[in-house]
Amino acid sequence: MKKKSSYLIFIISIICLLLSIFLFLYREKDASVVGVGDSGGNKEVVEKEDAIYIPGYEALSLVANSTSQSISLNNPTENDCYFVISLYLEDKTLLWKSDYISPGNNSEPLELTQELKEGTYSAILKYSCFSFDQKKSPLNGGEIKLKLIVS
Amino acid sequence: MKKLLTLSLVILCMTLIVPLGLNAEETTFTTTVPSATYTLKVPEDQEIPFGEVSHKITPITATDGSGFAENKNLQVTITYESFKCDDPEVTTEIPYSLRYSSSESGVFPSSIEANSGDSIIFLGKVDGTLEEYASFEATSGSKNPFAEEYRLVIQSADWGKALAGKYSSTMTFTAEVVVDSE
Repeated sequence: MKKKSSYLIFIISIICLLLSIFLFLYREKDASVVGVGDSGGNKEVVEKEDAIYIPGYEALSLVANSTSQSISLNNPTENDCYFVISLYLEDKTLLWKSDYISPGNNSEPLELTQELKEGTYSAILKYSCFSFDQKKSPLNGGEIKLKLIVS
Repeated sequence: MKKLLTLSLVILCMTLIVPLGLNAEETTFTTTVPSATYTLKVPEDQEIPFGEVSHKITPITATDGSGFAENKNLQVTITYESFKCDDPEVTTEIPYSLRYSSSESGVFPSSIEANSGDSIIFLGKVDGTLEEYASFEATSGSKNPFAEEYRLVIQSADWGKALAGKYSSTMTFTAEVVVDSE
């Protein structure tokens, strides 16, 4: 009986050891991303991917003769920064500006500064990006040239 | 007269019947073309060690593309200014350029040095998606290579001219869906 218990404890110990080795290796693999290599052929290790994901659109649909719109714009969950999104007409007239939008959240529905008549307008959606901390330091940003289809 | 009236009646009837007959056989095909959407991935903030003449940054990619087509592409214009010192009393600037390159063998040139205001093109595909990496024109090779690696290039002499301080620069990426007329 005693011999049987010892055998069982030994088996459980082996399983625990294998499990901890597996978890350790898995964690190491997850923490680093190997780059495609530099011009000299050496492999480089990038500690984390410092990237900003910017949603782009060819066109946005808006309701004519109304400042209140139903659409909202989002900051993707993959991001590690705040977005402040502004919508301008091509002549730089500001139509809408969001508050700080944290990753994974949407803006409030668009409330335009002016009503637009039916038609198609050239516009710019400006993404200003800020560090996701108290400082809110400015980061690289993006601008999307698009059409506003007002109907 | 009676014949003429009968003929007129027949012509009138035909005038009414022919369009009705045509309408009965008319078929209308309709389709709705959705506008394109995509996600542009651009580099976030990165610390560049003093004196480094070539610093690798996160590559610019386009994902989740839909509503694209052959010759309906995404053009991204990259604008930036030299590094400026956070201390307004330090007036020296550190100029730089952006170099993108391909790992593909047998193409020349395998890298391009782009200045502020230059554009890169992500090609639309027949299935409505986008190529993940921008492509650039090569003078030799079977096809245009993809820009898979991006580096900031700073001349050693420009590091040497810079006065002490913390410098920063931001890039702006302007994206637009364009239709290539060729």
